[in-house]
Amino acid sequence: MLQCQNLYKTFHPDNNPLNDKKALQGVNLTIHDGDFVAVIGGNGSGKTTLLNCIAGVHRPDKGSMILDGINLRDYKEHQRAKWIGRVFQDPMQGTIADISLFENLALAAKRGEKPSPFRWALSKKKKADFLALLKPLGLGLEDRLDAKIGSFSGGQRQSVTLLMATLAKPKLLLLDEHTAALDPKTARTVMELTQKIVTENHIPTLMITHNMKDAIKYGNRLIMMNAGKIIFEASGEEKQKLTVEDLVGKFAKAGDEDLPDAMILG
Amino acid sequence: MSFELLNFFFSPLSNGLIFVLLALGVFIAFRVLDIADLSVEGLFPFLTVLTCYLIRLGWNPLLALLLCFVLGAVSGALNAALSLYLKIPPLLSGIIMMSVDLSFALVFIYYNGGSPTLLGNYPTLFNWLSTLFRLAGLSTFWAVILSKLIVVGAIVALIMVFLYFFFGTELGLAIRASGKNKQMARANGISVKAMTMIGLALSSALVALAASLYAQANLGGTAQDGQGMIVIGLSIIFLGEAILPHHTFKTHLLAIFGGSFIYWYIIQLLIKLMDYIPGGSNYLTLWKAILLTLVLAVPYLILQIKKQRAHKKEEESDAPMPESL
Repeated sequence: MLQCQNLYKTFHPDNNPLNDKKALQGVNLTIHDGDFVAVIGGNGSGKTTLLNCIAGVHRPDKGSMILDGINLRDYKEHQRAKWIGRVFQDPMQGTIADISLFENLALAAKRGEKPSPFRWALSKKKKADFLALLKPLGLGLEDRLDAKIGSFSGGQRQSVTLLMATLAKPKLLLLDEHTAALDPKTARTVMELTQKIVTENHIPTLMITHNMKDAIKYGNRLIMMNAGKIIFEASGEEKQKLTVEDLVGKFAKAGDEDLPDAMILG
Repeated sequence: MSFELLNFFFSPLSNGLIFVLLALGVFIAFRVLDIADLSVEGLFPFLTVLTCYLIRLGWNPLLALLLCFVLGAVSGALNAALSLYLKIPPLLSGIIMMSVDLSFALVFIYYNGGSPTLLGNYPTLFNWLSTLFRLAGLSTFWAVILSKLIVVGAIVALIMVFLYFFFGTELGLAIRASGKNKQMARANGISVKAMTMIGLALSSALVALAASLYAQANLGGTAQDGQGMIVIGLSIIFLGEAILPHHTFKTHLLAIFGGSFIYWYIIQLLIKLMDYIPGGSNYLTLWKAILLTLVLAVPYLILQIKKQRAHKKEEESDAPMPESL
């Protein structure tokens, strides 16, 4: 369970108070075990800052973040990786292009453990384990275990990153618009895979999406952010009944004129 | 075969072997960690001078070599600390460490009475073997060359086997990950700072081995020994990559090994050619720069030409558009 209380974060791009950017202005959010939360919001609404504060990329100015009793503020980004899995928007960021799928998976399987100079990174047993994991996915990845990730498509890379983020089961999964860079068909495949992995393994998940249909369709909760605050929340049946028009209307009411077209059209 | 010809073929071999170590050090910084580490230019002369100074004091040559290895690792770790903890850009932290190391070279030359530290008849790592060879009836020329090749060759083989296995461990893979994609590394729980520190320490330690062996093989050390070392290291890496296959980590190491010999034979050839030009040896550094430019530019140009050809073929094979569209 993740409890975020009263999170504040202001960026000072050039030490000029006039240009200060108040990214988070008192965010309270609790993610229970088994929650799959979709976050939507316009550009600059603070959704990515929220994710980055939880992941440890940014340090919030104020507020607390407790994950299963662990005070996240006490740990750095790479230390939090032990409990938090992440998938990024850019397919290039989540994997290493120059090394093989096998090596990428081997790194991820040890997420959060100190890398030892006395253990081989790759082994026959690991290979067999990964093959058993990849086969049922039907993505054809099992045949390409020794291929460099650089030769994979964006959709394959995102699928791999998703697998890597959940290979060692995290206490929390953070997805930062992880289908935004993909074509619609591939995006759907990756979303289905996300749904499958998250529900099968009961991983609490926070997913930023630019796609309102996805936000309604996937997950059991929906959160709408504007100007650094959560302005609307729906869950369960209430969420399922929402339409894209409802959401656009709520954004308009909040005075958010800055909605990207993709959010409305997607 | 004349002595001159023999010398032409055999003298680049020992340099070739020694500079495999330097190039592997530069490779770890430049290719694995993605850091252009200029401290090499100061570290190298510091340790050639120190090696000779210590041997002249009566130190065991092997002990001098090991001390250099440790000092190299310390210099590399300090260099990493400057950029990681004080946020100095790696290029500048490398220049700072270069200056620090270079001034140590000057300090030891001062202790040596202001003259370059020459080994003359002092013992080196190769002495015991060349004495053995001479007792076995070999000429001095062969005894010296063979002893260098065998001792340095054994050290290079040891280091290459170590690197191959080290970069296959969890720690080695984590270091490679930190150099390739910092965001991915952090997201997977790898401390990029710790990995950069270990990587740069290892890189500088290998450069240190090269420096100490270079001093012992050439029987002296001066403050000028570091000049152009980074260019040599990079040239070897690029030459190896341009000519030899390097798709996996293992073949990449072997490409650098081969690149070092190719480089020193080219240099040997250039030096020979210089003999025929008045004042020619003054241009050697220029030729080295031209060589580096060529090994960098030629693979790129070949790739461009290949791309253009592939593009043309595609255009030719495209069926003409049907008129109805």
